[in-house]
Amino acid sequence: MKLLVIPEDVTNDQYILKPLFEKLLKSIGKPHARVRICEERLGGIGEATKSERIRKIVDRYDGMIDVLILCVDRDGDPGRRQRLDQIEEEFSEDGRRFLAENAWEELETWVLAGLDLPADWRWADIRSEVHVKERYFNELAKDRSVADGPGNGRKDLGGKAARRIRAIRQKCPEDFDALAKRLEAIVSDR
Amino acid sequence: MITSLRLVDFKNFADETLHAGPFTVIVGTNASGKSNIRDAFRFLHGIGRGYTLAEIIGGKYGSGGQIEWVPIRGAANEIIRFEQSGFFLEVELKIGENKIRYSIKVEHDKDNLSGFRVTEEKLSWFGSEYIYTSHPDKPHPVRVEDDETCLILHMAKTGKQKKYGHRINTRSDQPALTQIWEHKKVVRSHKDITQSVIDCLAGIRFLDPIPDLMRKPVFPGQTVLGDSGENLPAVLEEICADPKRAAVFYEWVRELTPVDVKKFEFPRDPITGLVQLAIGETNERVVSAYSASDGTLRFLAMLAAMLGKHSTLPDRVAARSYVFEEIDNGIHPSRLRLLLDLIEGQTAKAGLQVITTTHSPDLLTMIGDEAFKSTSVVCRLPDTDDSVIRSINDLPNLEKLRHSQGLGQLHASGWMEDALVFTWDEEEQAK
Repeated sequence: MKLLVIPEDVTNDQYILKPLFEKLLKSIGKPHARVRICEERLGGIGEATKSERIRKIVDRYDGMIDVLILCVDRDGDPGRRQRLDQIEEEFSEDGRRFLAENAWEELETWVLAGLDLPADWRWADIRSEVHVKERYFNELAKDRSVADGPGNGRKDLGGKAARRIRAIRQKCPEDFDALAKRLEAIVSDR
Repeated sequence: MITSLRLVDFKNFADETLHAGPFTVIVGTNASGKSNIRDAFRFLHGIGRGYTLAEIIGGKYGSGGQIEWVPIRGAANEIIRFEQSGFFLEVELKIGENKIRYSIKVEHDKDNLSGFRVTEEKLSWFGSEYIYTSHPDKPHPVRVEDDETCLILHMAKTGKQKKYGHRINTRSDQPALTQIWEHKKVVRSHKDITQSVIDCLAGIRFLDPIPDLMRKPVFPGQTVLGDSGENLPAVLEEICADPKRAAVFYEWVRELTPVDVKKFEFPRDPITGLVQLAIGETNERVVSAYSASDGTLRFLAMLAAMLGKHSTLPDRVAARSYVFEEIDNGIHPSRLRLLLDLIEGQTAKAGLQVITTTHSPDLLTMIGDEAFKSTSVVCRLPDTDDSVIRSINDLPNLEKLRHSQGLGQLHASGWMEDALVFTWDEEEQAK
């Protein structure tokens, strides 16, 4: 299975998305799936959800891959899903599957869901926090002394979180688990 | 001209081929294996210099202990792909109208002082009869086993020989290509072909200019540009001594820099007699090479290489193929077009060949159709130590995408590596 993940900002997001999707696919029976993160610098949600920007990327990989996944932050915007649904409809064509997902409320939440967190942090608070990067992730990276590493600690913490895919699915049912179920369906269809 | 290079078990290549044209561009991320291709060219160049395997791989020292040839990068054993016993290189050359193929296999040999020996070698006309081979397809009536001290070559039969050509013994610690001349049994025509191949390999240069070395005063008359740009002042003095070549040279320099260059000056140090480089501007100001920017000096070195008197030098010492590392290094993107004009012009007119790596999306955006055909991507495959080489022309939809999105943007977005990984055939990988 060949999968391309399109992040809204590849600079940091790549360190989260690559290990998570590789391990997720392994957990659903695709250990040899080829996962690549699109290095196009979209630079934020505004550009990442523009049809013309996505079209360019889709054209580049035409005929090469089985699934494209656009991964963005939800940023507390309840209307974002609607736009993602439009994008999915627009770009799923000719047997190619195009999925789009928004992480509640930021991608870093998926990383936190796979890690042991400080005892005084409540998961419900993290899950509902719009600025999860600033409030939680950066704090954790600093505490674990990885904040100066690649992706400001995302490479280290993303890799560690990917070892607990089941926990991430359990703690993030609305987004990560929903996406995982759709991928499972695609795998079983093939 | 080198038209292709096949690398088998050489460094991190299992079995890959680079197709080369007059202007060949190689792209790939850091540590993808681009420099290993350069090492393969260095190995071949070392053969052209007449060195032994120990000298090619481990370095050549003159009688006074001075270094003449820098060892191939990495530990000696690392020249062979991990867990393999030897490597094989095959180069195809176009010399005049002749297409010639030369191949060599080198294996570990614990009994040999250098640790390596040549175990196979072949020189042939492209796609037809060999000139010599260590392993003929048809069994030879007199079977003599090679031992670790020699490699037996079977020469092609010549006029008076009915079925078989001569067999000659060559030392196994040195490529046979540079031992042919010693043998009286080898006919002149075979020696001439062999020499043309040696000249072609010896004519490869590895220009990697180091600005500080180019700033140094040098002994007058040293008109061969060193691989690090040594002797630049004397080389430029020689170019500027010819008014016609000087005029062309100045035109290029004025295009490159905002400085209004009137002429280059070559003052002698009154005590040492060494010649220095100074740039005279139209406002009568004279600036020494010490003040020139790194980028300007790099460009001057490339100009010297491209416009130097290679075409009038005897074949044995003339540079024909230049191998550059990151040719755009130190060149402003707005001046890259100039550099490409220079290279594409000289490769077409002067018969030079340029093979370069680049990380510059801008350079890729600007290359012409001919260079596009000779552009390859090198990529390390996920979860392996092996790298693959692919002509970018073979990547899916590239011709269309090149025009709609631009090669530079595709390169910058990592698309070339993605395309290679996604289209990498698993059966091919297993093989």
